[in-house]
Amino acid sequence: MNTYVQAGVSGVMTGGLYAVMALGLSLTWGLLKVINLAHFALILGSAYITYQVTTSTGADPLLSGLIVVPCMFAIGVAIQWVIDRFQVDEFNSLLLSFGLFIIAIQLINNIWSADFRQIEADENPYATRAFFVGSIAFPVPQLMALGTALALAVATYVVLRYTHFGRALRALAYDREIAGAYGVDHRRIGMLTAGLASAMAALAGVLIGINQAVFPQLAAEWVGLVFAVVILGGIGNLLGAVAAGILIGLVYSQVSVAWDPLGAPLVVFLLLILALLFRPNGLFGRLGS
Amino acid sequence: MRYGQLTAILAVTAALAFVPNLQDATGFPVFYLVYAYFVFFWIAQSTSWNILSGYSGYFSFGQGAFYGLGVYAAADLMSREGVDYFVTIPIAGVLGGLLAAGVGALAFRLGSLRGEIFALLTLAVTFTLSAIAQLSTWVDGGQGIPVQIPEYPAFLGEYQDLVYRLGLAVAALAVLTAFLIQNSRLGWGLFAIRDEEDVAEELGVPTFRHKMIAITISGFLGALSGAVAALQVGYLTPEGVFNLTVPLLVVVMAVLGGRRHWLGPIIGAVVIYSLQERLTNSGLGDWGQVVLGGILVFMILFAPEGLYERIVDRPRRAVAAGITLVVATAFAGVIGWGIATDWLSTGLIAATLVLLVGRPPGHARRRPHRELAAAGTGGVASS
Repeated sequence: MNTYVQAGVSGVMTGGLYAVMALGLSLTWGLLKVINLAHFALILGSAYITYQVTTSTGADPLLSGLIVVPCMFAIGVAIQWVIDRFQVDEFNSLLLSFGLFIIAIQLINNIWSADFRQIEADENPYATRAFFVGSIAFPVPQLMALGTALALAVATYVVLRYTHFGRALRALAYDREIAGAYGVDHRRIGMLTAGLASAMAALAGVLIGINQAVFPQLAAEWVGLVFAVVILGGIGNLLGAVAAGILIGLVYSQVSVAWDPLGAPLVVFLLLILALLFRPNGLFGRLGS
Repeated sequence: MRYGQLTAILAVTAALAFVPNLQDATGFPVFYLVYAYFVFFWIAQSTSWNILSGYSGYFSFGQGAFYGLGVYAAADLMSREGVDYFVTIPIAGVLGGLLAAGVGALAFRLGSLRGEIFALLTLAVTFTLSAIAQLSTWVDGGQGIPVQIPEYPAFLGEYQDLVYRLGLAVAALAVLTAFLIQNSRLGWGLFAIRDEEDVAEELGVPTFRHKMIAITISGFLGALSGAVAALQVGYLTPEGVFNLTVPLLVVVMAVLGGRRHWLGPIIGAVVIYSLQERLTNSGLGDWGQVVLGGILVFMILFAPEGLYERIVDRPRRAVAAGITLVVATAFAGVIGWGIATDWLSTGLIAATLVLLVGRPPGHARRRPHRELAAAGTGGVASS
């Protein structure tokens, strides 16, 4: 019994990590209509930079966020600028980001090799810490991921709902031409949104770097799960993504314990297929629907 | 019907079928037959992808799933059930078709976002098959399975001749199918779906049926080609089969060659495969994926129409490219740069560069359509 409870708790926590990875993706897909596969490469790149900075300087791993967040913001802005400048349509933007994804993964592979890389335990003040409630452990790095996911989702919700930028962005997603006629500059808002989404990827990368060992193939492993989170949560619905992340983390951990860790993705994808059939807008509704 | 093109396809296939006899007679290295087999393999795979994704505009990551299903079906049926190899090939094809039809039946029923969801669903299917292969001890069980050389009648010649001819047969079947589809109502319907699906539906194109036919054929051909590839793989592992390499390569090939014509994937497969071989032989294998990704990004941004349309749109430039091909190949041969395949890849890369330099005249023609779509009268309004 205790195994299941512990698995459930860590499942919820891991779900928080999926959610952080899914937030930026959901944002750009829902609002800019761009499926950015390069998002996964940005997360992995940030995780590697976190590893490198911490290992080389011995600084607190969280501090590397000061480097990766602005870097990834700039990269996100640049990619969106290119998509806008060359009028890349939806189909081709998927191809474009696929190309960028492949390039980035191979570069990471060439720089850091295909081996596992992990921040040494004595340089990572968070890795081994945990709170205990009874005999159930709450690992600190995963708590940080869950907290970050919730904070980012709530903050984005508030921004989208109450600020001028958020209203302009939603108007743009709803009808680009009419929004343009009312003075909404789709280029600037698009680049800012893409930059913010990539900054979220950077935060996800820092958390991944603190949490676990990284290797180049990791990015491809995330793709299926994280997209399942985005779709189940409702595309563009960030609070939904957090809920779906927790749900998928929970399902994943329970199936792993009760059956086989290899069977877990199978069950998650079955869940996704059922959801697509019966609730095509996600469990919690899509943005604006 | 363009009978000239049809005759050309059949004639080239027939001529290529006799190359192994030529090899027996002149004794040139068997390596070239293996090389040609791989070119056939990639022509079959990228044509299979293009029939679905190029023609109908539905982006699929599922090529790895179709290919992997074919490889595993042939290998498992042969080694575990003792089924004759030649029987496993059509079985693999049918299984691929069924899997594809299942994916299509699921994805094409969705009203909105069907394109994006379809792309991600095909990706999920690939990972799911990989998980099944690792879980099921009948399929693989995570150990990997060796593929033995099957027994076959003696009149089929040497083993490499057999592999070559099977590869050629599947590639020819794929190309012929793509050609026939393109010149039929089905092809016109698929092109209409790619350009403006809702309008096509309004005008009476049976979009669901067309897409189902396209994806089933694509899955069938992908798995058929996979079953032949089982002979060349030797040792199968789930990670080696169900990864992103096959989807990446077919996408780059079709995008480079051109997605609107059956010749596009052939051009792309020949250029990309020889380029990749060249990189591997030069010890730059680590950069292979960077180059492929770079080509993909470059083509999408600067020449999304692909090489085929560049050749057709600019006959004089095409002649220049042809001359470059011959001269560069001959030059590489004269200075003795590697072996014959290296000479050819030098020529192909040079000719490709000649074609890609500068802005094509067709570019200006397509712009207004895109701006129309961006103005909310077309695609964007539906999202």
